[in-house]
Order: sequence, then C-alpha cells, then structure tokens
Amino acid sequence: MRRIAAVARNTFREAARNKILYSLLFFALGLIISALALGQLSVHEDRRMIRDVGLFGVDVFSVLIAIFVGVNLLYKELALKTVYTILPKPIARWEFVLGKWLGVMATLVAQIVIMGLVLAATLMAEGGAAAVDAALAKALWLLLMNVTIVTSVAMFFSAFSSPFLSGLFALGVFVVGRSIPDVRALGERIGGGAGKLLGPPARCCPTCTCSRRRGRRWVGRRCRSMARSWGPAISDGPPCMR
Amino acid sequence: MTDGDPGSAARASEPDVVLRADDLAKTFRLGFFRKRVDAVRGVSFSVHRGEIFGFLGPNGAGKTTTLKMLMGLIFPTRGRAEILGRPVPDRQAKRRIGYLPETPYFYEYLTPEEFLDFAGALCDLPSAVRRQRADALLARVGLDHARGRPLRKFSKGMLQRIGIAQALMGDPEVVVLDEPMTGLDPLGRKDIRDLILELGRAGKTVMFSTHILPDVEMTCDRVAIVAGGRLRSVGTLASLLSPRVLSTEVVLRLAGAATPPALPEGARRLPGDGVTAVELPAGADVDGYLRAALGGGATVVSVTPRRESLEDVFVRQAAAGAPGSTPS
Repeated sequence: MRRIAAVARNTFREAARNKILYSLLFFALGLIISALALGQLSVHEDRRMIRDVGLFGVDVFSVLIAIFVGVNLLYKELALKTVYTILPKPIARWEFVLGKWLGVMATLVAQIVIMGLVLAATLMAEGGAAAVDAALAKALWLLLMNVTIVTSVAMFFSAFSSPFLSGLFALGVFVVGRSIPDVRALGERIGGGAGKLLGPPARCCPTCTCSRRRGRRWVGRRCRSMARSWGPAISDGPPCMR
Repeated sequence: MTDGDPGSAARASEPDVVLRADDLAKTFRLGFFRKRVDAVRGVSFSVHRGEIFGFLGPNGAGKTTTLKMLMGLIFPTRGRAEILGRPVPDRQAKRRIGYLPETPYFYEYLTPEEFLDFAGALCDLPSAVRRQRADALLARVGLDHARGRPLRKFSKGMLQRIGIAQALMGDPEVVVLDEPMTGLDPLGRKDIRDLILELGRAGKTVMFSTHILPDVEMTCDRVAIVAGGRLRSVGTLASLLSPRVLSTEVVLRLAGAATPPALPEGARRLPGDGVTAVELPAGADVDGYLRAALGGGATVVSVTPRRESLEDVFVRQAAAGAPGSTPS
C-alpha cells in the first residue's frame, strides 16, 4: 500500500507542477465565472443559466484534463525511461499502474472540487445560499465518475501509443460513449440488419452518460451494463446523495 | 573464455553466488518487417558475494541489455537469471538490490530530497528511515548543497550522483550500476570509484558496466568482457592478463661523445626529449644491450618491461566480437 501511495503521490505532484494543467483550470474557471454575464442575458433564468454553463464547463474541462493527463503520464514514464528507476524496486507492475491511476484521479478530484467550489460561489453570488443544493454536488460526483472512465481509457491507449493518438482514441471513445443512447435509438428506428449493426459499437464502448439532466435536476442514470461503466452504485452517487 | 563457460557458471546451490546469468539471450524485432537483432546471444556468468565485478564491453556489446534482463526490466528470449538465489523478477530479491540505469532520467520536477524519499517509499521504508538515509546519502554523494534544487537544474554528473544515491536508498546487498562513470569529470569519477570501493569494503556486492578501463583496473576483483552479444572472457584481472613481457622500453642519456649501441633485430627507436628511448622486442637480450650502452658511456635512465594490459585484452576481445569476425 505504501508503494502504491508513493506512486500516486508522485503522480499527483507531477500533475500539480504542470503549468499546462493550470492553464486549462484557469480557462474553466473563467468560463464558469463568465456564466454570471450570460445569466444577465436570460429572462428570469439567471440561476439555471449559470448552473448549466458552469456544469458544462466542469464537464468539458474535466474530460479534457483527464485525457491530457491520462495520455501523457504513463507514456512519459516509458519514453523518458523513468520507469527503469522504478521497476527494479520491489514494486509490482500492477501496483505501479494502479498508483499512476490513483494519482491522476486525485488530480481530477482536486480540479473538480476547485471548479465546483467556484461554481457554487458564482451561484451564491447570484442567488444566495439557496442556489446551492445537493443536486449540484451529485452532478459533480457524476461528472467525476465520467472522468474515471475517460482517464482509464486514456491510460489504456497510452500504454502502447503516442500521446497524440491516445488522445484521439480516448476522445473518440468518449464521444461515442456519450452518444450511446442516441446510437441505440437510431438502431431501433432503422431496424433490420442495418439497425443491428449499430448494436456492437454501443455495447463495446463504455457508457459516458452516467450524468444526465432530467428536468431541472441533475440525476444519476442507472447504467445498464456494469462492464460498460463503473456500475449503478457509482453512477447513482454515494448513498448520502441518493 | 577464462573461467566462465555456460556449463561452469556458478550453480544456484553455490552459497556465495548472488547473481547468476545462465545462457541469457535477447532478440529484438525491429521495424515494419520485424528485422531480427540479436542483442545478447547466450551469456553465462556469476557474481560472488562481496566482490566488485566489472562488466566490460564496447558500445553495442549487449551490456545494458544483459543488465536490464537481470533487473527484470525486459524478458529474455532464452536462458534464465537468478539474483540471490531467486529467479528474476522476484519481489523479495528486489528488496535487496540497488540499480542505477544507464543515462538515468529522473522526475525533473522533484528535488533530490523528494526523489530519495520516493525511492525509499518504493522500498517500503518508514518515513523516519527515509529521511535519515536521504540525508546521509546526499552528503555521501556530495549533493548536500543542492538538496532544495529541482533535478531539472542538475548537471549530468549531479544526476549520476543522485542516481547512485537512489540505488543505495534501500541499503541493498547487491548494487548494479550501468555505466556509473559516464558523464563525470575526473574528480567525479574518482568519487564514484571511491564509493564503489567503500561499498566493497562494507561487504556489498557491486557489479558495474563500463568501458573506462583504468577504473576497472583500480576497482574490480573480477571482470567479464562482452562483445557482439557474447561473453568473451570472465575472471580475475590476473587470470585475464598474460604475465609474459611483450617488449622492454629502455631510456638512455648520452653524455658528450657517448654513442648509442646498435639496435638489436626487431627493436625500434622511440621519440624522446633529450634522451634516447628504445623499445626492445620480447626475447631480445636486454642485459646485453644495457652492457653495451654502459660500455659506450651512456647512462641508463629507466628500463620498463611492458606486459599485456587490460586495454590489450579488451581491444582483442572487442575485435573478436566485431561484425564479420568469427565467434569464439
């Protein structure tokens, strides 16, 4: 456990000292705060506008950060041969990969928490304390679950591909994963052989639609296949948020 | 091969064998057409407890590939390796090994203290021990003054030193160093040499690869020479070097009307500044030549027999392993 924690801590430290990540984070924070101005343009929907734009910002930028960090960290270990210093130590390869993944996840948790806090502060600036509710926390939790899938896919590709290609692949999987309900619906509408052709891609890709907006609330959508996502327990959020 | 043919490589049952390679071979497949490159072609040797073992070879001889197989970084195509009686890779054995990779790359955003703490944590050391060892090792490798500086600002020599420090963090029994002198100035080389000797005196087993021969002559108990992916020789320096005198260099000073004696057959005159230097071939009558010189009024400045050096052996073995040569 100490070894995994050491790799995770080091990975987090590496990400925390990466200037590009800060650029992405500041861009996301800028977008969230700019939602205040967009809220002014709407008619009696200021709070909803801020919440939607803010969550959109958190969603997009957390996925971008997940892909950026996920495709680079493992690849850099191999390309720069830093792994040659690590693996002769008494650490198993799976411990190393798990430590890297946990480090990336810690980075993403930190980023999402920062973005969430800024979003909450923006909402409170507009509508007071009542504007922030448990649904916001749940939405952020679900976005975090989405990025766990994206990070895993990005790290998987980075084990054997260049960062550019891994990024493209991971982004592709994410886009397809986001569109799975639409792909399924399209398959049902088309019907016949052509419709069935859309089945396998929809089944193979991890479902990245764990968080969906229903009416005015963000709720967890029960994922049908545990293999395609991290399962209902995660997608529905922790018990305290259900 | 002097004492290390595959059959006679130390057996696992031998109590003092800490590291053993048995017919290790590695073939890489490169490029689109998967061209076959035999980097190591069946290397067998053993390293005994407490000795300093030099692993010599020209560039591309297969030294680093062999060490990577021993460390479990790459898997051999054929053969097997054992460290401390356990087949590679083994977690228990790894706890007792320290390894410095060739041209080490480290996490450049870390400071030496952070890096050594990380290396210690990977060895499962408690926090207090990590701090204590990091302090001692930073002082030992002469990086005490740079403990707060990120590794990206380190020179090549400093990186080499921190690399050695991380290899020693777990207080290993066996230390394997891949080209530890590379990139160091003469003072740095001397420091590392002293450190290797100190580790040897402390009872640790040290194996290092290099092609800097004077360092090997000054530090190693035994050496192995690889070339072309094959082991050419392994043994003590004394067993590798022939005691036979190859030639004798005589330096004379000629005063006034003194004349140098006639050169024996096969002898040649060497350039000398104010002196007369002559190289007499093996088997020449050196005593007779000196008598003639003294009789002619010359003063003898020095007489130096030249025996086979490690460089001679190395060049001969490397030439044997060069492409196109017949494997020995």
